[in-house]
Amino acid sequence: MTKSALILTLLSASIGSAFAGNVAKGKELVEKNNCAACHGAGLKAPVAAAYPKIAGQYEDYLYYALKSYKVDGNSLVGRNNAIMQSQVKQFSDKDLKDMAAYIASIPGDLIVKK
Amino acid sequence: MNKAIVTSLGAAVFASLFSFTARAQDTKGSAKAGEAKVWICVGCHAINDYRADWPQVYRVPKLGGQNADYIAASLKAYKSGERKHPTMRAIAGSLTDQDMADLAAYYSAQTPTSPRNPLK
Repeated sequence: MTKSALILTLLSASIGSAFAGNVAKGKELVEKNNCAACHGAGLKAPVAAAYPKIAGQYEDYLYYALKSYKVDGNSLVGRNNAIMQSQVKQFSDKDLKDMAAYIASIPGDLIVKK
Repeated sequence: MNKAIVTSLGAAVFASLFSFTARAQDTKGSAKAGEAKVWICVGCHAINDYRADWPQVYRVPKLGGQNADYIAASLKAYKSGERKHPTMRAIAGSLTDQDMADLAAYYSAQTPTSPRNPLK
């Protein structure tokens, strides 16, 4: 019984962290790559109105969006924005997950509203 | 003669600047008009932690408080195919530039204290 409880705990912990990126590593990558040059101070004050606020956005969406810029030649998945495509090229999927985790952890203005 | 060319060039540049401004203003969004148009969005984007399952499972993005121009640009990118996503392409494909501008104005105006949309 103790053993099964342990297994359950380990299982749920691994499910819980299946997505979670490393916030500290993500912060390093975001700062080094200067995402704020376009997305603005705190990543919530973009320098152009056509750029998104990203601070506090959902982590899993951020990862999906970042990864989409790496997809090429698929008719159903992918994003063609030239700037973002050139930005994400250098990063592994793990890097993108870490950055997504960090960006999601910053407080921002984004909310869910009807 | 040179002066005439410069003058007409100047006039052409001025006219093109003016027409660009006029065009940009044509699709100025109205948050009020958007209030009635978000019915097409709320089934996913108004539900906390709502998850999409294509091409992987992820929560659909928060739109409230986002930049209006970014929302409109994203919708246009889905419509044109620059962004590929079957659901969003179908929805954006059904929207006019005015619809996009209104939806963008509506979502960008949302704050944590905004009242609940009376039409939804």
